[in-house]
Amino acid sequence: MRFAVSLISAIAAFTATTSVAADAQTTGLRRISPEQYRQIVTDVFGADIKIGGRFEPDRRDSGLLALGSAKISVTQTGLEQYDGMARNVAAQVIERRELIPCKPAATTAADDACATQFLGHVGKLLYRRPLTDSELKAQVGAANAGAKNLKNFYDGLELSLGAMLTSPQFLFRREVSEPDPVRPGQYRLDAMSLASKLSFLLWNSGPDAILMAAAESGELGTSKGYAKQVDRMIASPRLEEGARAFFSDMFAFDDFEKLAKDAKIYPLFSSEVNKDAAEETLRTVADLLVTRRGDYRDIFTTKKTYLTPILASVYGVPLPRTGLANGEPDAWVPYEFPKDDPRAGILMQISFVALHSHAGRSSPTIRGKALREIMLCQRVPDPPGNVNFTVVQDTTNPNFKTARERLNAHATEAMCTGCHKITDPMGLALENLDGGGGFRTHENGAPLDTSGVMDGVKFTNGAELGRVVHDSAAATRCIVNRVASYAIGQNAANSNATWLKTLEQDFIKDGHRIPDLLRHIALSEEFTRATLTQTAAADTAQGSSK
Amino acid sequence: MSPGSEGEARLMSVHIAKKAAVAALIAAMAAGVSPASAETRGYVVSWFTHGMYNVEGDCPGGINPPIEKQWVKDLMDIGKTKEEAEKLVMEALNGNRASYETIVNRGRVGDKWVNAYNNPQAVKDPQMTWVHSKQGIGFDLDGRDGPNSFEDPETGEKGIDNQMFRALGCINNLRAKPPLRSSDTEQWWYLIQDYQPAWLISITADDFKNDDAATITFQRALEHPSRDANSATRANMTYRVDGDPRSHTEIKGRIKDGVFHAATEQTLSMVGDLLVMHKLDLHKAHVRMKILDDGSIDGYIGGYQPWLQVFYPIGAGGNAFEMNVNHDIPGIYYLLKKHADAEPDPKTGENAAISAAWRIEGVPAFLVPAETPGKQQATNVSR
Repeated sequence: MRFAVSLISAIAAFTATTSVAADAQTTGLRRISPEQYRQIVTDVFGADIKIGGRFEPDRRDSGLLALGSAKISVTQTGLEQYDGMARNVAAQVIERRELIPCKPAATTAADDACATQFLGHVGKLLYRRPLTDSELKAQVGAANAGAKNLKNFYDGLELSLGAMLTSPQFLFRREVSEPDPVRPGQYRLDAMSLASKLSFLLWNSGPDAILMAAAESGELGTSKGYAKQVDRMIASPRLEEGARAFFSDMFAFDDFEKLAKDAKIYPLFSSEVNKDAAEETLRTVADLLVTRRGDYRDIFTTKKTYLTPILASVYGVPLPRTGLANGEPDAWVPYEFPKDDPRAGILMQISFVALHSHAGRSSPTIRGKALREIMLCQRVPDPPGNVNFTVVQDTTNPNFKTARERLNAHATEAMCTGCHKITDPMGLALENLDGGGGFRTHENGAPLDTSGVMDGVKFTNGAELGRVVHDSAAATRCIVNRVASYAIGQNAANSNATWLKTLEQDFIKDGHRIPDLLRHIALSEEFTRATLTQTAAADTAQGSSK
Repeated sequence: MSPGSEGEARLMSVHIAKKAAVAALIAAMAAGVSPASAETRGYVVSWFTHGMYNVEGDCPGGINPPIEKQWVKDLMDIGKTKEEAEKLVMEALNGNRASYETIVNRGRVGDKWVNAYNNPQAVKDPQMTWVHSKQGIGFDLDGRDGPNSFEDPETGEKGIDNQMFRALGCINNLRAKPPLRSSDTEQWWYLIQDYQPAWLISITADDFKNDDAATITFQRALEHPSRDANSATRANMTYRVDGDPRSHTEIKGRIKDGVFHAATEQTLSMVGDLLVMHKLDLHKAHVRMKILDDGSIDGYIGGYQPWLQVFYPIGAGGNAFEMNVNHDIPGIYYLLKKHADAEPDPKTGENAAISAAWRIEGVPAFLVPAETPGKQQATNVSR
């Protein structure tokens, strides 16, 4: 408990530290996501480091966890989890002696020089900036004290590294501003903060050595130098990691962690399917938008995807296993649904239809709401608290065999009609997919009617709905808003209407290419300048510094 | 969702895939299962067990006793007193090695004690009891309604030959009345799913309700069955057909009212797994397979089978098997030998085969040819 309290105090003090230039200010603070934690550990120490434990839940704000990350701190329970993970990671790292670039004079005693070399190197990568002299001295001091007490150099190093991994300097992305020399009176992000912000946007991880060197040398402070780095990073295959992180956030795939299906009703929806469904969509999107530099809107109409044999069984399409030895995982295989197959686009993938359904039945309303809110950035009001859902929930009523019939009966209540008009037509178009992602043409023996109208445009099935969304201006506007908000860490629609309009025009002009959109955003003043964000930890820091 | 609509969904998924996946269709044809104009539906076997039909009172005097009681009787047969036998059994069950060895080596060859499971004939017949009822599932293999024949409760047909059921039907853990399953085979099936290469079935017909010229094909896959969320055999998986001719039997028959029937002089052969069936050879193979509306199949295969094929997987289990599933292994040896009813040895006159029926179920699957015959998943050979 004392440990947790002291760390929370450290977070508060973190924003008020004066380890940067005197006229610099902390203007943003965001907790790194679980995936960013994993990615940084992988980048710094290698992919074979295992990370156990559970991360604290993130908070979704304006449709994105990335925005909520600026409004969350760390609970005591969460700190215990971070501490456990840190100790575990540190132990694995220290076991791999090849990760330590020097050898101590004696393994049974402290070694100032070797500890300084190792901790200075990894500290820079973990904190996304060089450690200050006092920070490095403190870390080395902790390692030396540990080595002395435990009579083992490596044990001391492990303790110090573990502490580093629970430091707010690591767990939080801190944005520090400095006076902008080009625009007197205004502030811009300092070079290290900018490098970090750019790297998390494009690669979902901390800056690599090249980017950090550019920040240290001042290259990042020049337009030309900064653009060079942006282009390098967008051209890198690591852009896929950034794109996957963004779409995973936008599509709310964190909800898969709490998704459960009734195995009696959906026997094919096993834990493997739960695990692979989001991956299918992320691979589809990454391949289309990053690898092939395709049109964003085509995610709603594409026939191309990636499958495992287990997922193929849910779709009811043939795909032989590849993992021959027992327990060996099957490979992901590119798959294209035939032209006459009624399925197309990510709205008809398991990740969408299963995630936005109940445990034992589909839900046109939830699907329609998800489509409006996630893909079109349109807010759908929550139902009032006193609604009677009995008719909708009873799938055994012989008078209402299909969801459409049940919803029609439900919508006779005037208080429900308005919202259901917004959501249900699109959700009903996806009724060919049951709540587990399996294809069907009938429900309870009655044929499904999947026709409808969205914003005045008619469709007859899910694939045609995908085409309508593809052509929708709202979908284009939404993705621009989402990427921009994700990049700057706050809802861009609140204060950056002109910027968003420009970005949208450029996005359309460029053929709806996500890498181009990212480039426009990264090079914009809105991205590089310091923007004060209200953060939970900053609140605490303000309070404590008074 | 009602069971009916779910079934339609699954059936539809097979249809969609068949229409859509030209490659799969070509593959199925290459696997030798699809004439040019007919439809072929693929299945993976999801359940396989002895064809039992137990009813109350079918074992006069009661079913065979649990193994600890049977062992006492066995030990008394080799000269132990009741007290000695009970003491040995109790000690063996509590882990006493010497007592355990006495039970295991209760066979006698000359002046030597030998392993009873490897040498069941060296053990005195424990005289286990067998089924005496008139009801039994299977097929009329010899065209006669004799004193050992059953009447099939599903079809009403008389003259049913299923001496395997008669022999094994009074062993508690093998007893079952469909649709219930015996506890023994539930365990077997649960175990083998993860390592036995799957058994595959395909049915080719123009009309799956009524067709006088349909074909059923039995084959084996390179992959073992995959499980679904209930740990049952997953539907709609894709399997590569092993080219090994030892597991390939094509049988002509007819479909009447949605049930495939075949009565042949052929041998239905499959290579299996140690735990249930090392090798299956059903001479004069018969098939009765319901093609269900939910896309699955459920039925029986039968014929005259070398009775040692039925015994081997049981005998191979040894003492652990006896303890876990309450079988007296030499007792089963004698039951099967005693009830074998076909293929007499020309010299000894002893029957080498026993009439048998096996219950078999399958769920929809895609069958494609293997690129490399013989390259298969590991099977458990540790027993």
